[in-house]
Amino acid sequence: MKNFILKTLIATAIFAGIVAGFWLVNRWGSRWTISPDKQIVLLGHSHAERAWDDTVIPGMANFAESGESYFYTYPKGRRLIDRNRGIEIVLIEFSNSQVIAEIDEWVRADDHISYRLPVYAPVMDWPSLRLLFDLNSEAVIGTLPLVSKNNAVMLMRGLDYIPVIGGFHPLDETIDSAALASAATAPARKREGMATFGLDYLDRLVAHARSKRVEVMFVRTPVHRHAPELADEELFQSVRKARYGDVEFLDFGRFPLADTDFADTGHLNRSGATKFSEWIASLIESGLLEADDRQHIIDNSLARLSNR
Amino acid sequence: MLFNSLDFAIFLPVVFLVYWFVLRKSVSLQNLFLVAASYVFYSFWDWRFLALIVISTAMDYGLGLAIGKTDGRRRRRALLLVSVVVNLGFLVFFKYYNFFLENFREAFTVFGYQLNAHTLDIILPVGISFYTFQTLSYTIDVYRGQLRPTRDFIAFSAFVSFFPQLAAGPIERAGNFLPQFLAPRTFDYSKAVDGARQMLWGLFKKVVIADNCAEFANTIFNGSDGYGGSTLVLGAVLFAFQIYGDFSGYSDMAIGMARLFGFSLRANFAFPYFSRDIAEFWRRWHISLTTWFRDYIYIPLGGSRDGIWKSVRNTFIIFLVSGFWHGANWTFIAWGALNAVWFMPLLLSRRNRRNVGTIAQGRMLPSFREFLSMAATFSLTVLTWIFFRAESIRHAWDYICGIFSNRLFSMPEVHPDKSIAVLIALFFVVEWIGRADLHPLETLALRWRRVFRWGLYLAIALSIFWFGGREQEFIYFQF
Repeated sequence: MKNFILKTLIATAIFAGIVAGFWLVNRWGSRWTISPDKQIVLLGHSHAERAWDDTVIPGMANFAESGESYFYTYPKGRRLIDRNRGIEIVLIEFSNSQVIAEIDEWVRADDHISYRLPVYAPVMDWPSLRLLFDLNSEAVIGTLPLVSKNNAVMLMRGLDYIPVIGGFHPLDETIDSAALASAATAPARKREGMATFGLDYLDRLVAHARSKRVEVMFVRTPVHRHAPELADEELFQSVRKARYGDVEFLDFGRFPLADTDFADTGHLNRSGATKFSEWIASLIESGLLEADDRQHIIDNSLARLSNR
Repeated sequence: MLFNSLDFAIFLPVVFLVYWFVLRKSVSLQNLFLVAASYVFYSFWDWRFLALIVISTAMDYGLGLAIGKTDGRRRRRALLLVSVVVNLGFLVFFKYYNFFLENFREAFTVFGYQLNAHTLDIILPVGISFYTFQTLSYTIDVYRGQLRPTRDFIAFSAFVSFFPQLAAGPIERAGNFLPQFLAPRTFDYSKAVDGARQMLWGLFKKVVIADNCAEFANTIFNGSDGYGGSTLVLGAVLFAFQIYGDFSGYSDMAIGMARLFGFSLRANFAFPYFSRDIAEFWRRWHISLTTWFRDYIYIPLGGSRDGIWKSVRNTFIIFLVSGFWHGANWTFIAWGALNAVWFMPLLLSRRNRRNVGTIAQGRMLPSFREFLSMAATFSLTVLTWIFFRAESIRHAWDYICGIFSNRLFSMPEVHPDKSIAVLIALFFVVEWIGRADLHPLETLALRWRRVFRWGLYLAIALSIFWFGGREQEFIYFQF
């Protein structure tokens, strides 16, 4: 019987060793290198993912991804900064929907864990993994096979993580008039409470970028004037001023767009993204990021656009 | 507690170590521990239904002793009747009460009467169909004089509640299984290793094949109105893989696990999808239930002894009862009836025992004729499974009509991704190679060098870990 138990333990150890080995190779050997001509990195969620066309905007790499909490953006941003010394500026989408308490579900909900953890687990630090385990141990355990499978898949793809960590993905649909009418007449619903885990990790991302002498700016992407999240403007501004008063905030939210430039009230479609990105590109080319009074330049440009 | 759960991954090694290291010198203590472990295992579903197992166990233990002591035929029969009525009474109440009530109510409505009876919100106790038949076999065998009643209540309790096969079989016979609880057990290395291999293959069948097929089969069956013929065919085929992987996977794990504890359970599946006719399929599918019905219903009814028409009648009875055993729905009865219909040509032409041995014995591939027979049998089986899986007879009928309505020769709209399709193909290859054995890993790779053999086992284990579908409960738990 001892022989049986010994062999079972050996088999289990080999199995665990293979799984752990794949994980360690992904942790230490994965490639996060971006093109050296990209000095600006954009992080955030779907607002940024759908709007910032990095093929149009010079020097920018868009790594925003739909439904991504700052909790998961942190290990991605940290690794990108660490592995790419050429990055000078990190733009982080900071908008109304990211400060409300509901957004913490993007950290701990089953579907978010099973979607994010397989990609980010190898580059997450132990305290973050521990926090996630405390928040939803069942989902974390249930996702371990997916993490391991993804490690193996990434190994077969040469450990290049750049194609799987976000990017510009435009939407082709256009919001219909019924949805707009519905959004216009829907009562404004202010949401209570401030996000905790997400903002904690935003703090950490900002601190890490600064420790590496990378400039951090928050940006706000336009949403439709009937977007429900605009009801949270008061909370948003209070969080921004109280907690992130020392981080430059570039508000592009008032960029003029037609209804046909939106896929839904929260997201630009391809047409809107093109208009918005070309405008951003022109601002950057005219020296926006090197200027001292950036928001003033943006506001002036927006005023000119509105007067047309 | 599911075999493919983290709870069980902790539970099994603990039980194994205590059983062999702490209690190996005492059969009684081992049995007592198995009873306790089995009750804990069952309590993970619903501890309240443990009472049913305890009542069935105590009653049949007592009735077995009473039948053994009694000489009078009438009194023995009365005691047996108590066992049958109480055991089947539980089964009927928990499984069929609402079904009978609803059908009575509808029947009364047809004749213009309103039956004021309400259905109950009854939970079906897991495994009730299995342990009820297992414990019934004991009293029947004692009544028939084929088995001496046991005085060892703990051993009898362990026989009824043995956790590897408590929830979904195989349904063991007291004559084979009970004596194993009475005799001292020693750890047999080769049996344990083979048991572990069988468990590994069973887990692969359940987690990789059945659970992945289930996701697509469920999608297709639940939205069958909107899919074309080819998708519906694929849905039915995937369900065939699902139910085979699910149930035979569970059986493999149960049998393998039993071997770890020094027990031998009878085979429950023998590669049924390689059958050349329906009769062979039924000798290879859910063997423990089929033989139970054969020994306790078919043969007492006269079997095939009293002419062809009685044989036809008895065959229909068996298949209808088998269908009804699976669930309180007309779909299961239709499924049983269809199987009986497919069986009839073989029975009437006395060719139902034509294909008894292993297909393509000693050859790598089947002959063209064997292949056609196998494909035809599989097609009939898949068609019949539609009734088994459908929510209602109407659903099944619409599903079949949908297959032939349109887009039968177009690409399916829903299908598993390539990696799952490859794993299903590999699964069939391995099953084909091992079709003459009790399970495919019994002899496969045994002559390989150790490094390759272990490599195969690791590849299977990694496939389970990586490609396991969304955790689904075993289908047969609902029966």
